[in-house]
Amino acid sequence: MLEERGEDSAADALRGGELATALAALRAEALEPPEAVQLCFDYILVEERERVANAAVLAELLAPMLGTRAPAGIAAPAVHATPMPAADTPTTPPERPRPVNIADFIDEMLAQERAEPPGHRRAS
Amino acid sequence: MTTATIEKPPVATPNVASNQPAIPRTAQPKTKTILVGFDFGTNKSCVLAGAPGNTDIVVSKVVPTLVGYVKDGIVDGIIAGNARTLFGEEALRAMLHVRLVAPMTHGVVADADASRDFLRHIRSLVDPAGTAEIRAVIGMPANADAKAREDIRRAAFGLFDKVLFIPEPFLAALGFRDDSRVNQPNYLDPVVNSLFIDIGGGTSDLCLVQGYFPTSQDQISIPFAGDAIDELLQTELDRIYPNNGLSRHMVREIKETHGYVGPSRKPLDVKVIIGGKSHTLELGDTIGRAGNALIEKIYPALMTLIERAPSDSVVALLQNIIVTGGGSQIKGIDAVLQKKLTDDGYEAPKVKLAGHDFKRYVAIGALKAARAARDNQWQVLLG
Repeated sequence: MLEERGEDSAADALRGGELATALAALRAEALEPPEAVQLCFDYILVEERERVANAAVLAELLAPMLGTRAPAGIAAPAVHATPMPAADTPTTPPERPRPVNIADFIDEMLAQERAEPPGHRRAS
Repeated sequence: MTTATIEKPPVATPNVASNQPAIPRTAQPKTKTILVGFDFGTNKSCVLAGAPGNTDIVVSKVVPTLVGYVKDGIVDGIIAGNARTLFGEEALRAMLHVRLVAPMTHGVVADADASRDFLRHIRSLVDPAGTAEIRAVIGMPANADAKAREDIRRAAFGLFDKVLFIPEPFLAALGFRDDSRVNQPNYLDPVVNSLFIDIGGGTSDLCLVQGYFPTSQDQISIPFAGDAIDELLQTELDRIYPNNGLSRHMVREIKETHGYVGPSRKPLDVKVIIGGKSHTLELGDTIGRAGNALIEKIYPALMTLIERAPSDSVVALLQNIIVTGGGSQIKGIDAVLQKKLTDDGYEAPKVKLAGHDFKRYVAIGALKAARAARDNQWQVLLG
């Protein structure tokens, strides 16, 4: 959870402190060899990371939907799909193009592909 | 008009080891359409899927890009369901009983059969019944050459009904873009003016995204990324601590936990288990050297792309340099790149990390592209 929130230093502290102590105790008591315990622990961590990441994605997807469906007067949840603290800086591009259409980008991509000789496609 | 890509069918070598159900490719009617955004990563892949016409995501998975072929002679019941082929975490868990194959190396297909089996598995995740029409947008490394593109097309042939292959860093920009904010005056839309640095397992891809589809001149792909750091780290460890017995998997764990760039963080004590015993290794300089090798590779490419940007866009561009992919988790990478740019005289550069969803931005962008693609833009891989 801490990693998901970007609180890496707190996560490191937890990992190096309480978690390391608990893991050492587990190793001491386990019947399995230490590598097996470590491997098992690694799998648990991977699965937990995945579970938390999935929950975060779900929250991000639900937030805008709840915002649009909420009755007037109720503020939309303050959840953003992407972290963007620095994106609020006042600098803007010199010429601000209108919001772009993804399908137009795809048209441009396909046009580029058609224009490039087969042997040179996307070769740098 | 449907853009048809003429493809030869893949070499007909049926994978007898595969336990995957065959994907129906007969003329039977498709019951529904599923849109897929897929990031075929060297180490980890991400798949998102949903139905057209809404923004719901019904499948969201990050899967280690690994196929495990069960070894001969394994006793019944050892592998769940007596499967012959395992994927991702399941393959890793059963590593003692399978032959692990990495389908991708350096962002391109390394093993055609394994790639095809892996894509078949991905298809089964989004459409277990195998009855839906699957339209997939698949990420490609920046500037993937003709052979690399051809190899992925061959792997995908027959598994997805319609496809689009789009460069990964551009998809990352689409995925990172917060669509709810594009009309806000102070929002720096990454699709309008940004420079993406996507550091994956096999390649580091840099891409200028400036409101038009990036050309080959706007993209640089470097075959040096997470795997190369692992290799450097392992070589250095073997030199300093001979016979250390650390597997590549353990070395990667060390990098992911302690990896950093910039000035030495010595002493950096790392606890490892070798031969069942706990050891503490001092790896400050070792890890630092491996990480800084990445900076030496990507910084010149970063400067090259900044120089290629139109001069009146550069000041704003410098505010929107975004690092994503697994490499974005290397401690200090944003600060070091920003300092190097500042030291080289660039005007108030700002290098940002994409954040916690770094594994998914390419797939998120791919699914956005799939939802936005017009019917006549989809390609059909023909046999």
